[in-house]
Amino acid sequence: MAENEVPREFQEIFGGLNRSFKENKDNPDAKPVNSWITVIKGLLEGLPQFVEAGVPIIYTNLGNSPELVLALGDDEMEAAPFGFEALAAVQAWFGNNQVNMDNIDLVEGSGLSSDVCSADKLAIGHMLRKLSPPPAGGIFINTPCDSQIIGANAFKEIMGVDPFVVDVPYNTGDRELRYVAMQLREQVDYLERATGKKLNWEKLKAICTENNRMIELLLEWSDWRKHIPCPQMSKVVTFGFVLLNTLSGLPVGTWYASELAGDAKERSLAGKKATKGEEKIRTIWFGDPIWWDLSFYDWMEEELGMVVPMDLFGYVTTEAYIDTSSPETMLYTLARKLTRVMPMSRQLTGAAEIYIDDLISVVKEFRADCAIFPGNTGCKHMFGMQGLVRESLREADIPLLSFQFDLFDPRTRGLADLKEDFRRFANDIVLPRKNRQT
Amino acid sequence: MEKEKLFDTYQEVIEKPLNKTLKEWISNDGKVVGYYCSLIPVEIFTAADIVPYRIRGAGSESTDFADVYMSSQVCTFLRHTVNHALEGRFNFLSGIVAMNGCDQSRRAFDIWKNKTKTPFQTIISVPRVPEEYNSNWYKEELAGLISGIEEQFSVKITPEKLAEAIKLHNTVRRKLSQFNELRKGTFINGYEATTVTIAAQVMPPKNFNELLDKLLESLQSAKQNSRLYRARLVISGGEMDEPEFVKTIEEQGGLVVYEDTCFGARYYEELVSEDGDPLTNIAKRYFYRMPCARMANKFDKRYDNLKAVCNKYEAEGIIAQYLVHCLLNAGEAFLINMRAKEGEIPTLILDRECRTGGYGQLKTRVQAFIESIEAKSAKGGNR
Repeated sequence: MAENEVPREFQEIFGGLNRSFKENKDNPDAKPVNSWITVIKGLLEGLPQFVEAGVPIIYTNLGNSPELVLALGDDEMEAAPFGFEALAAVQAWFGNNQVNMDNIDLVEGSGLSSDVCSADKLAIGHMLRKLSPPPAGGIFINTPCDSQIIGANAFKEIMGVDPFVVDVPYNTGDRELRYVAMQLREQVDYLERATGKKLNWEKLKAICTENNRMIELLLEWSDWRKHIPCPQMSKVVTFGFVLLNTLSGLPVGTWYASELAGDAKERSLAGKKATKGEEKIRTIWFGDPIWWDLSFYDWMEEELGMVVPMDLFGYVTTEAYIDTSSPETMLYTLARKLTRVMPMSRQLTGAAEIYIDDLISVVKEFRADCAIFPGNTGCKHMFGMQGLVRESLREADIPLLSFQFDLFDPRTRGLADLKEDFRRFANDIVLPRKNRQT
Repeated sequence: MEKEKLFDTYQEVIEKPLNKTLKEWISNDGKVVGYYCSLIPVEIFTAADIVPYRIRGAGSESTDFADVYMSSQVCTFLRHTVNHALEGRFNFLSGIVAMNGCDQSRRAFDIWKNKTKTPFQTIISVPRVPEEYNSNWYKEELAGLISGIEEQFSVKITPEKLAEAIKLHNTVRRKLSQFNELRKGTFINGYEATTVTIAAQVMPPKNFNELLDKLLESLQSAKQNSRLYRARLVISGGEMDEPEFVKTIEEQGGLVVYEDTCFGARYYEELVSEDGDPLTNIAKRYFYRMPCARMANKFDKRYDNLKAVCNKYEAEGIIAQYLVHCLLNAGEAFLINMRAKEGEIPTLILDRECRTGGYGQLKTRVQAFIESIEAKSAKGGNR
C-alpha cells in the first residue's frame, strides 16, 4: 500500500456512508439513520485531524463512557477518546462487512480463538494492521464481558502502552459504586500523566451537564417508542450503545438524541408507524443486534409486522444522570452510570436475576408480546444463563426466541436461517397465542 | 509404603467427588465447603474447622443436566461441575463459595443458587486489577466471607485460628514445592505430580501432609527414573485438573515438568506471611500472587514468570492449553503465541474439552510439536 493511500477499510466506510445517505435522504422514515450518518462522518473525519494536530488519543472500550477524557485541559478536545471497537460497528452498518470478516479471519489466523467477541477480535485486527491511531493511553473497563480483558491486554501487547483498567465488581450497591469511583479518581491521575493535561473540573461539570441533556432526550425518545404502534424504525435502537460509549457529554451526542426524540414524537403525533403494514408483534431484543445486516430489522417489520420498540443497547435508565454538585458526586454518579446503566454492563456483570428482571420489566413497559434472547458467540454470560432465562420467561408467560449468531459474522448463522427462526417464532408461536388471547 | 501404592491412594482421592478421607471427616461431624477458584483463600475455611474442597467434575461422564441450563457454548469444566451439583453428587458439601472469576463461572453460581439446596452459598468479588488501590477491597471481601461463614456455621474465626490455618496451609505449600522440585530431575513425571497436587485440594490438609510425607520419604530412597523423553515441557493455562491429559502428552515423548495452572503452581507457590495480621497476610498473598489470565495488564509478569520457570526446569517448550469457550485463557494463549512468533519459547496452543477422553487429535499435535522442538534444537531422538 502506498504511503498516502487510504486503506480499504476506510474507503469502504466512507463509500458506504455516502451511498447510504444518498439512498435515504429523501426517505422520511429514515431520518434518524441519516442523522446518525452525519454524526459518524463527522467523527471519522475529525479523527485524522486530531492525530495530525498532535491531540493525545485515548482508547476506550465497550463498557466505557468518555466524560473524563473530554474534560482534560481547558479548551475543547485537548484529548480525544477513541472507542476502539466502534470502527467495526461502523463498517458493519454502513461499509462492507466483508472487510470485517476478512479481519476476523486475519485475527483468528493469528491464533485468537473464534469464541472471543468479534467486536474485540476486530479491534485487535485493526491494531495489528496499524489502522488504529497511535495512543497516548487507554482507559478500559472489565465490563460487559471477559473479551474486554482480552482487548485491554492485547492493547498493551500490540500498542506497547499501559492501559488503565477499571474493575467493576459483582454487585452494584453503594459500596461498589464508591469502589468504582475511587478507581475513577486513579484514572484521572493516569489520564493526566498519559496526556500531560490536567483535568478541568469545571469543564467536567459542563460535559456532565451535556450528558444529562442527552439522557433527558433519550428517556423522552424511549417514552415515544412505547406508543402503539411504535412510531420509528426498529434498527435505530441498536445505535444506543455507541451513542453512550462514544458521544456522552458531546454536543453532537445531544443533537443526535434530540433528532431521535424529535422524530419519534413527530411521527407518533402524526400517527406514523415503523411497520409498512399492520404492527402485529412487538418484541424486546435483549442482547447483541445483528449488526452485519441492519436490513434484517426492515425485513422483520415488512414481512412479519414485527417491531422492536426497545433493545438492550438502547435501554437507558435515569441512573445515567450525573450529579454535578461536586467532583466527588460527579465521580460517584459516573461510576453509577458505568455499572448500572451502560448496556450489557448493567445486566450481565452480576447475578442472572438482574438481566431477567430487566427483560421482564422492559417487556411490560413497552407492552411487548414476546422477547428475543440472541446468543452472540462471545456472550458467554448469556449462554450460561439461557435455561434460567427460559424458565423465568415461561413463568412470566412471555414467549421467547433464543438463537446463536455472531454480532459481526454471518458465517455463524446466516440471514436465511435467522429469517426462518423468526418466521416460525412469529407465525407458529406468537401470533396464534395473540389471536387466542383476543 | 511403596511409591506406586501411594500414587494409587492419590488416584483414589481424586477420581470421584467424594473420597475416603472426606467420608471419614464427615462421619465425624466435620464440615466440607466447596470453592471454585484458587483466588479464594483456603485458610479461611480451615480456620473455621471446615475442609476446603476445590470443585471439580471428577468422574463426570455427561453434562446432560447442566445442559438444561447452560448452552454448549459454555466451557465443559463448569458444565461438568454444574452437572454434579444438579445430580446431587455434591450433597456432602455444607456450602459453596464462588467468585466472579469469569463470565461463565458467575453463571455456574447462579445455577447452584437457584437449583440446588446447598445450605451455604455465597460469592465474593475479586478485583481483576491487582493494584495497591484495589487491595483493601479484596480484604473487605474476605472479611465479609468470614462473617458469612461465622454466621452460617456458628463459629468464630479468630486471628489465632487464622494464624494456625496459615501455618497448616503453608506446610502443604512447602511440601508440594519440595515435591515439585524433584521434577528438575526425572524422579516423577507430570502425570504423577498433577495427581498429587490435585489431591491436596480435595482432602483434609492434615491428611494430605501425612500422606505426602510418606511419599517424599519413599522418593528419597528412590533412584532417578530412567524415563525416556524427547522434550521437557511446561503446561500453561487455566483450569487443568486431568492427569490423563498430562499422561497423553507424556505418552508422546514429552516430560511435563511444571503446571502453570490454577490447579497447579498457582495453588502451591508463594507462601502466606506468618508475621503480622493474619487476614492482611492472606489478602496480600492471594491478591499479589502470580496473576492468572483473568487479570488485566499483567501479561508481562506472567510471561516473565513462564520464561523463568522454563529456565529453572530446563523446559524446551510451552503447551498453552485452554478449554474450548474459555475466553480469558484463549486471549492469554494468543499473547503467548505472539511472543513465540517473536522467537521466544516454542509454544503449542491447544484448545481442548474437559473429560472427553479419546485424545486422538491431541496426540498428533503434541507429536508434531515435540518434533519441531527436536528439529529446532537439533538434539533429535530419545535421551
